Amino acid sequence: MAYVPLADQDHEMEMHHPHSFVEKYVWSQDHKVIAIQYGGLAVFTGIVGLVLSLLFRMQLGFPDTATFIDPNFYYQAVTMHGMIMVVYLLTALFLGGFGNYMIPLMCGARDMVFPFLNMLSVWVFLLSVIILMASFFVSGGPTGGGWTLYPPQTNLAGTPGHDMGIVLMLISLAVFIVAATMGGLNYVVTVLQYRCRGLTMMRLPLTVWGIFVATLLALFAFPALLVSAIMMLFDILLGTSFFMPAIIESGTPLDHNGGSPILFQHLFWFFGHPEVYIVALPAFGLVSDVLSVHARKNIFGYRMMVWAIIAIGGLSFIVWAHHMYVSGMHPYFGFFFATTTLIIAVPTALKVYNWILTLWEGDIRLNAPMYFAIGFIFTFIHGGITGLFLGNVVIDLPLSDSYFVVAHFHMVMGVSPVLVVFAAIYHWYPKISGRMFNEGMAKLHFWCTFLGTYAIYLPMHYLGFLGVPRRYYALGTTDFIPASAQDLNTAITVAALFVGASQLLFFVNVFWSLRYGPKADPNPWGAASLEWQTPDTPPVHGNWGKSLPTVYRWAYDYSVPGAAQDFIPQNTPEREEPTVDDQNLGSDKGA
Amino acid sequence: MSLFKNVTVKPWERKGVIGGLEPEGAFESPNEKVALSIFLVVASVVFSLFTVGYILRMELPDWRPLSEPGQLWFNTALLVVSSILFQWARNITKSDGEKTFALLFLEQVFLQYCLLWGNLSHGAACKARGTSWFQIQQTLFTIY
Repeated sequence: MAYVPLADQDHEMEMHHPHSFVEKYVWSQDHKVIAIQYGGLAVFTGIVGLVLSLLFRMQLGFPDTATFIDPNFYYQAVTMHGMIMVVYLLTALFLGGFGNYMIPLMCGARDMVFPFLNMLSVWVFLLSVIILMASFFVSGGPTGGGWTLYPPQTNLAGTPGHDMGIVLMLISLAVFIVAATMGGLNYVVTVLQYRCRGLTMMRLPLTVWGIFVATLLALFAFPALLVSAIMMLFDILLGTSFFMPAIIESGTPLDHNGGSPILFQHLFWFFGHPEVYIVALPAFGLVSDVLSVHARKNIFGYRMMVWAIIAIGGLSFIVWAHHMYVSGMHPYFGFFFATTTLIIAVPTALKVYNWILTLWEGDIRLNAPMYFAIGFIFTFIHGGITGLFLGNVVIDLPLSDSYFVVAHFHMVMGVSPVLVVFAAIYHWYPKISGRMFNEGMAKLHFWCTFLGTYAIYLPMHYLGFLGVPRRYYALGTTDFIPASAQDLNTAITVAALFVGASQLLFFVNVFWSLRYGPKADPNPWGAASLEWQTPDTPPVHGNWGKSLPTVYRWAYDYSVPGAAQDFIPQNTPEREEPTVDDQNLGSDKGA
Repeated sequence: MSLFKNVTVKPWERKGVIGGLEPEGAFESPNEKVALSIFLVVASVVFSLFTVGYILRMELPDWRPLSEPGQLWFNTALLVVSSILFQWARNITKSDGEKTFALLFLEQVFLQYCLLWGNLSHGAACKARGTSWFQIQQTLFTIY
């Protein structure tokens, strides 16, 4: 087994120790600063995505009220909202934000294995965001072809942003993939090679397992997006015909011939479905840890949880075509992908059972992180079950491209991961900031978000059953859609505006508490995992003071019979564990 | 310990330090080598997908085969030979053969130059004949 050279060598710490403000906060190589940079940038981009969603919801809820929301802007807003939320917010936040902060601390390491590459990753991510945002200011505006960017529609003159908008989107995605690859190599190698003494893979918290497997998925799935982006750029800029078929645009035949739009769909979804789990697996890991800590119980079925994460990661590469049932694929092909889709539901359901069994008979502490974590279980079950509907070909065909699909994926990979993000931020806020947040405001934030999102997405399922198509600027009049559907759309928009506005509670709480929140205890929740055992709160550069921790147990020793406290930190040696008898003996002696 | 044994242990049963006195990584190799190995797999996935995409496109009925495959095979051979020389030069640096290293390095630089010239001249020839970028790009894809 290899010796990890950074371990306790003080001179290694000196090598990249920051000496100025710029080194500490701008060109920082400290994983914690990089995590906050990644997270801050992702959240900023997410706010842009959120505002765009509220704008196009205005058109749907109150048609033609806001005159600047014309059809072109509507499609651009829908497209940019989708891509921003999936890639630039959730992927970047879970892997770049939580991955950077949690991995070295939970592994008992001083930093990532390649700190310079880590710094480079966040700056390349910034570059990708700048390129993406630049598309709002070029001629024609950003692309409006839908977040899936399907050719040929995306590249034709009738689609907004068909000239520079789509080019900038594709370049931005390619640059993002470079950033994600640099970060991903760091996360994987750090987990494999940089764990402290005694920390075996099966002693890692599930947060690390989730991020680790999700990073592997990202490393192997993003190439499909990169390849499709580059080939599409060739089609647009060089006149190749990889994806562009022979087509007539406004009466004029284009130079393209024989390209395969279906090939693009295969490449896109070969990335697109693992992407769902790139977002979901870190969320699964984080929520497992939050539930276990606040239920004061070890996570139920730890080994099963690890196996489920690995199984989901593997299976996620063979389910992609369930997004393409209506593309005209061979029925046997659909049968295969429906089967694999149902199979992947097994390990996913197993995780849900284990979360519930973790809560079972636990000493549950209903504080704000726990609210969000339990809320996640509700929304994830809801979104998961509707996923079983859509995984079946015969049910998917009539529901495809309807609001049912929108409701499903927002519940399962929009609301659910976002609830986990909030649970995790509230849970680790005391460690990150050294301050406690306002509990009441956080709970109010939960109820507004949880109930508000249900008010948005439950009616959307019904709209989908009615046959209301997604992505339409205006519904018009049809025989099968009753006029009352518009009333429902109005109600959904009001709920969306309410949920959007209620996120201010979160930002006010986070920033207000940074300055005025009460000073946090180093381990306010009584958590056993390593990140809570740092000598300083918030952890300083190098994390562990003079020597790295040694791990003696797994990360879930809660409510251990006979132990004095209801948790035993991972770095507590077995012989030093105070027991109830020891304490009684001590008090007897004192008497 | 094998991967299977790793993920089948019951971590709640065993307490105390597992392993030696020093922290242990999963692999004996240096971290840089582990990272490079993973990166090479990722790069292989990228090029495999390019190849798959290209082959699928070739199978469509309107596929136009390359006009000058001979030139491209020659360019590909240049690339292979220069890569071998480059690796050879790298290996030489581990011994004392500085002169041999310099010679091999210069040879591979020359071959790379030839390769670049071959690509550009082929592209220019296609353009002069009015061949679209579609075919020129096919050319580059075949090489790399």
